[in-house]
Amino acid sequence: MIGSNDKQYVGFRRFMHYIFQYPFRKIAKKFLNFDAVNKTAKDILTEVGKGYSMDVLRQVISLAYLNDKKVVREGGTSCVIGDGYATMSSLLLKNKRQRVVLVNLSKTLWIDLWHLKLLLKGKFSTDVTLVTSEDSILRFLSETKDKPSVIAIEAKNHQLLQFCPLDLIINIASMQEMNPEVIEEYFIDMSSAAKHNSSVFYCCNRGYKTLPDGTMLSFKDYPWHFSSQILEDEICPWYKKYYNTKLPFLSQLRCYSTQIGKVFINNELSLLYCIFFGGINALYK
Amino acid sequence: MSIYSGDEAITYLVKKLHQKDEKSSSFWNKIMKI
Repeated sequence: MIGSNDKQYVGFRRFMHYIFQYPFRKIAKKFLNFDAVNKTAKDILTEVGKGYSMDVLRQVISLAYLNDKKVVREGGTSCVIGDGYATMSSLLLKNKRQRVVLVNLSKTLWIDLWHLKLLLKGKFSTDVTLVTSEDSILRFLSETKDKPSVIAIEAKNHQLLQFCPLDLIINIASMQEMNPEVIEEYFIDMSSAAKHNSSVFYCCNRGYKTLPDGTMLSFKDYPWHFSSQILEDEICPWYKKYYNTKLPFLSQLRCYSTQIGKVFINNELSLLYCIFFGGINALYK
Repeated sequence: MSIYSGDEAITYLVKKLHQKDEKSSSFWNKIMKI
């Protein structure tokens, strides 16, 4: 789960977060749309009473980056697989007036919906719907065409994604928590969804990770053969480091690879992806 | 029913998690009262 449940920062705490976030904001400034997304994030956080944490900033930079690549369509339909505290969903909803398909594990989906309730208030009952069957998702999709809204799907029903006309699919730090078989199922879903509508998949996950059951995951081994064209392939600059309150304050994200993503081409699903990477001081060069 | 709007969706998820996770039922009971 990404995102943060911190209360709003005030005084010295706010100042320190600002200082630590400065290098990341400096990276973000190169994206033309950053200021607009940043403002949307501030408005959202004020509304829900949460702090502008590093996790939120990363989501903001990711969306500004995607806007810069012109893959986020105003009023389009996006899917967020594994959001945290509905951060990315809220940004897509408010910044781009999008229809968002939100897929998550039941427990975290409940937390996502709770945060959307805090944000949308009265509109929550009309704009947010959880669907559990093919009939219901098709009905809701036809009722909400071009209307900013959220369609929630429990992860166990992820095959419902196949019926969604998705412009953009976002997965940040989530596939790295799944078993390879489940990752493949999601790729099949996305590939099927892309038959309705050409889709872009933004995938940002660790290069290597060992799951609690000992399964080794490797980003390069994801089933990329389902993809069609690579729009961008890079190491994600805003996921190289993180800060915390313990000395030496700045640390590199733990990862096990210097592997850079590769380009795969066939006909259905365009991929836009980057991987977590333990770069050495690259952020501050 | 396979479509849950707004608060119905939250109630549906909380009920389901409550049924699944008996050990933390006191936590879910508190949530259900909100």
